[in-house]
Amino acid sequence: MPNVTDFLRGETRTQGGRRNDLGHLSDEALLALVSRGDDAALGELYDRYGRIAYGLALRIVRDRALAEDAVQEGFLAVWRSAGTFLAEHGKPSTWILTLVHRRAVDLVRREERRRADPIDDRAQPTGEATDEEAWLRAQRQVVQEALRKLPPDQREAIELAYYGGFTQSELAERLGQPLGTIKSRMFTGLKRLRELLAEAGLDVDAP
Amino acid sequence: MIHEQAAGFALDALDHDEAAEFERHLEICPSCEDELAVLRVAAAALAFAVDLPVPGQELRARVIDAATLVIPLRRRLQPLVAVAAVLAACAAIAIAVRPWGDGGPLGGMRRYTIEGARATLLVDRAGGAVLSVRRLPPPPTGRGYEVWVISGGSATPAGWLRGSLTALTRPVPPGASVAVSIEPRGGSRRPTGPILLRTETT
Repeated sequence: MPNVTDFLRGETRTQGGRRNDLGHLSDEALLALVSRGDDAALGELYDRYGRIAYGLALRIVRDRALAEDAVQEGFLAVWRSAGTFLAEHGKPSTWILTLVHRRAVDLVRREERRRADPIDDRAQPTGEATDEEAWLRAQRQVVQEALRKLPPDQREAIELAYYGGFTQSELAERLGQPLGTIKSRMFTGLKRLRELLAEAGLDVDAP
Repeated sequence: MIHEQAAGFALDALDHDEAAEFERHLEICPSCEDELAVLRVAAAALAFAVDLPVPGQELRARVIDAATLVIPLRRRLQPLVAVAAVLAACAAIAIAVRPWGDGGPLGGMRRYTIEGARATLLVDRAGGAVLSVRRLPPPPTGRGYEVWVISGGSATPAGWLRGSLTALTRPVPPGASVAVSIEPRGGSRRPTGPILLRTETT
């Protein structure tokens, strides 16, 4: 009796025409394959999100070797827990980046490497002029613009937390504000950010 | 109010205890769970705002290698893989680990914690071994961390540390030691650099 893996593979053959072409599968289908131990599917997810994951990790830990560790451990967490994904975690890309982010923050806190200037908005030429590159650049521009539209104190709290790896208590101390104020800035800022991203046409629907 | 922790949790801005407390709360509070899902989407979008450096070519292989040592399926379990599955459970991987259900991979493993270093060695009955080492600084230029199996008074090379998980390239017989030293990239016939880690097995 065919199992889900065969089914998904069959879908791949039909759509892609080649047995090992995973490019047409949705992220969800890839995660389903990953949960069944399909390392090619993990590779495809890496091809889709490894670049972003690495950029994110490097931004946080500021060290190439540590950033690679964070990506490796984040994807290992994806591999280990892909079976738990569907019920509770929302979009696969959100989930994958959340796992990598958490590893990077753990590493930077442990290393006591610190951390985080305000985000550098200057575009830096990296990579080739591929479709993927263009898509990533467009995404980046949308998110950066949305960030710029946030009230400065909300933006500051969010950036220091997310890119700097600071805890909210550390932020309260660093910024000389009550903890409640920091929490409120992060909360209001994230909500507003989501609205701004939705207005800009980004898919920000929670499941 | 615990509900106010949702944004901090979405941004990974809670400390360990706060995060654990909020996770427990999530299990009984559907409204926080819904709120978190929304906040997380916004938080993850921040990942797309960073610069786009190109990772090293070898990172993809590292990701796959690390994962395939930890195969989550019984049908694909082989001795070394079983070692890795246990190791992954022991290593500081901050995820909720589901029980395997069969209990299979746990049988017959020996675990050695290496004092003074964040390192763990796991050896299965057949001698297949995986070494987990955390927080080693990058080695000096042109050098790497070479793993040794020392048995009967002689040391044999057993691979290089890459990342935090390393499967030894040769079995660890009972009573042998496992050691790590800094060696030139080409490898050495016997340890020449300082021994950084060493553990005896039983």
